[in-house]
Amino acid sequence: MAFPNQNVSPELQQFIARESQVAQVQSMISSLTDVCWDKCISTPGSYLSGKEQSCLENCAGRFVEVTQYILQRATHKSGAGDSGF
Amino acid sequence: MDFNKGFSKPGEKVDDSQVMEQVQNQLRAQFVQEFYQTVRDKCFKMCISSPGSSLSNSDQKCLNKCMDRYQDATNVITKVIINQ
Repeated sequence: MAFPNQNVSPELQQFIARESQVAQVQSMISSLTDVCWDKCISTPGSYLSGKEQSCLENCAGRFVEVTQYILQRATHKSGAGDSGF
Repeated sequence: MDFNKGFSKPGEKVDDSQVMEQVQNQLRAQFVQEFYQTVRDKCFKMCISSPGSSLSNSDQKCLNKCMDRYQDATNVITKVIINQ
């Protein structure tokens, strides 16, 4: 976001940083719901069943873990010098 | 200061609070639009298997359920992420 011929006030900078973070979290929630809906919901009922709810919760939790797992393993591999890059 | 103003007029000097409010409104509107586009895609796929010449009652019932359940699913996922 560029404001030509204008110094960006600290207040505005904070605002931009905050809104960027909110947008990032929102984007993650949207993607996750998209993916996990496909995995967990076959036919929409009158309410979310316990099974469907558990599936969604597990899906979100595992997704976050997989993100960390892959990062950790990639870092470990490059440290050992056999990442292939 | 009227914070309920719409977009500023060309040449009008704006202050930071007006810019922030306008940006927030635009971001919110965009998010809502994208959300309903996703709901549309998911629920069409789920509920309309053999497209007829109109939306039947059962089509509409399925769409209603699908919309509400997708909102529920979003809330479930949100809780997991926020509580990380």
